[in-house]
Amino acid sequence: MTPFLDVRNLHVSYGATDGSRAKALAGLNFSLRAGETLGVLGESGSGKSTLAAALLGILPPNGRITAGSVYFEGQDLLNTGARAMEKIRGARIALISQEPSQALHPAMRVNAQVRDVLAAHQPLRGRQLRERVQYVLSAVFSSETERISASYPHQLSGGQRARVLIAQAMVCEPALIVADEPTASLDAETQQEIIALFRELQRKMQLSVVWITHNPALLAGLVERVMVLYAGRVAEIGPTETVLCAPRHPYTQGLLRCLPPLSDENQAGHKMKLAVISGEAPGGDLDTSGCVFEPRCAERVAVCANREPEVVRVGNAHEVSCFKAGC
Amino acid sequence: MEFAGQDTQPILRTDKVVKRFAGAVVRDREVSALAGISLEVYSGTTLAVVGPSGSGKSTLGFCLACLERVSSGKVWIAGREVSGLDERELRAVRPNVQLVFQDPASSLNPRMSARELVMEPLRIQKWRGQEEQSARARALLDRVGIARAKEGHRPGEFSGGQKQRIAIARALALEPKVLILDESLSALDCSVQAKIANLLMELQAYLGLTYVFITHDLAMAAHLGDEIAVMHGGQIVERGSAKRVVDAPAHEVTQRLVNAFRSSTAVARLPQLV
Repeated sequence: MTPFLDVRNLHVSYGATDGSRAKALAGLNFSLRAGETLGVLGESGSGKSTLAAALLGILPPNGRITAGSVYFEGQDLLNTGARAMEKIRGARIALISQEPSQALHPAMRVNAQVRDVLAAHQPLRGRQLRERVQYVLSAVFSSETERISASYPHQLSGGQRARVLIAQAMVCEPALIVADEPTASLDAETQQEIIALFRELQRKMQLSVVWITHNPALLAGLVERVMVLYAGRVAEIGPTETVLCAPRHPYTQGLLRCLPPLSDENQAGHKMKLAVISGEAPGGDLDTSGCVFEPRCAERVAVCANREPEVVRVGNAHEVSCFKAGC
Repeated sequence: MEFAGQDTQPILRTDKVVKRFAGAVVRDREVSALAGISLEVYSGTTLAVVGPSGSGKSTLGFCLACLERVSSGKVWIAGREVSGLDERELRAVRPNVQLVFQDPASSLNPRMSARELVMEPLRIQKWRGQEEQSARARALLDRVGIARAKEGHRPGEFSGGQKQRIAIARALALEPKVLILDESLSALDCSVQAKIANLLMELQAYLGLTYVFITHDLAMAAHLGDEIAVMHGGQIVERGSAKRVVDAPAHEVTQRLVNAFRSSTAVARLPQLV
């Protein structure tokens, strides 16, 4: 059976003005079942936003997919023409983008912005169109739906704008939603509200989700599986609880150790330093003969600098790209 | 809990500070961003200020840095009342309290080198000659971990964490007593946040700095803060030692905040990491 979404050996690079090309994704493999939710965890330069753009076919002009394949509902997306892609984007695959304040048109009312998405994909007119828009907006705003529908983005709070983006993404009842850090700029409480709403709608509509974030704390309870990206490669992928509680890749382990605990367990009120991952994430050039994390890895062995690690299956649906994981 | 220098006067003190903004854009009435803030912060300690968006955290930071005038109430910096000072007098006071913002990409002039950025406050305050300014900028960049070879680079050539290091070096140029850290870690990756948090702790220990750390990351507030103040609707609704506020939140707003945090982080923060 072909998976709902299947990404194989995906390579993406960006051209610079001097003619050189920088790799952003270097051989990404993963697949998604219909209705499944996957969290993509990565820091700056990991390639997570490039992945979102590649899935939606909206890479910037200097970005190019140099190898690999993306199959969605059996269709080869990388060999789908621009016009055909326009029919898929928004209708079958929808994006919830990063910055609610920038993703909305500043001079259009909320209902018009949701209506335009729907009208672009479905042959609805007049009352039908209005009713469907109103229905979706009332699903994301439990109160004051009327007032908010007629508002402009600047009249709304950050959380309300995020809800509008969710309405836009869901109005065509897509099969897959790619969410690129839609809650990153919200405070903790609002973040929880938005995530709870998203979860509820996702369950109701049986949506598949790729939720991209740099914040591991967000993923617990939100997604079924987590894929950790480092420098354009999959470091580790597995069930959320396994990856967050028993990570096997040294990068994932280091990343989770960086988080301050909510209550410091140390005694006498002495502040402790946080654990860190030495060195900096590689920028631009990801070419290496060995493991891309090797220069920063505290557990490296001789082979790490010479060969790229294979993907090792370490447990139930838990895969790790590390030589040490195989032992 | 005892704080360093508690027997002396606080380095920062406010009494019933109110800040109102003309609300023409938002609504047809005045908006109170701060509705009577009284607090004191002692030298060498960190006060973490948490609260939902719009609770007045950043306005408080601006008022403490003398960048916004208070509508009523009083502010003392190092024992001197500053709320009534005129613009010329304020210029002499401002070096004591410096700000570090959330997004270093927009707070650093992209056309200046790291060294020039750190020299700028020295130049504006006419601190000694150019040679000495340059030397001081070098020393500061060295202190925050920017390699000597990169001093001449512009912000675009640095990573997010390095940019924030430069912003911190610039904030330290005039030897302030207090840094207002307004979401200074929020735009950074988790692994970079940890490094900058460690740097801030080192600098505090070495220079005896006082921090007002404004954040919506409760765990980082608990980690860096000696005390936590919880803001809501322009008021401080709860204040206490970081440990007490997190472990036994008394006010409803704090409880919601702690719950939101615990539910989102329940799994990720389990201690039994391999």
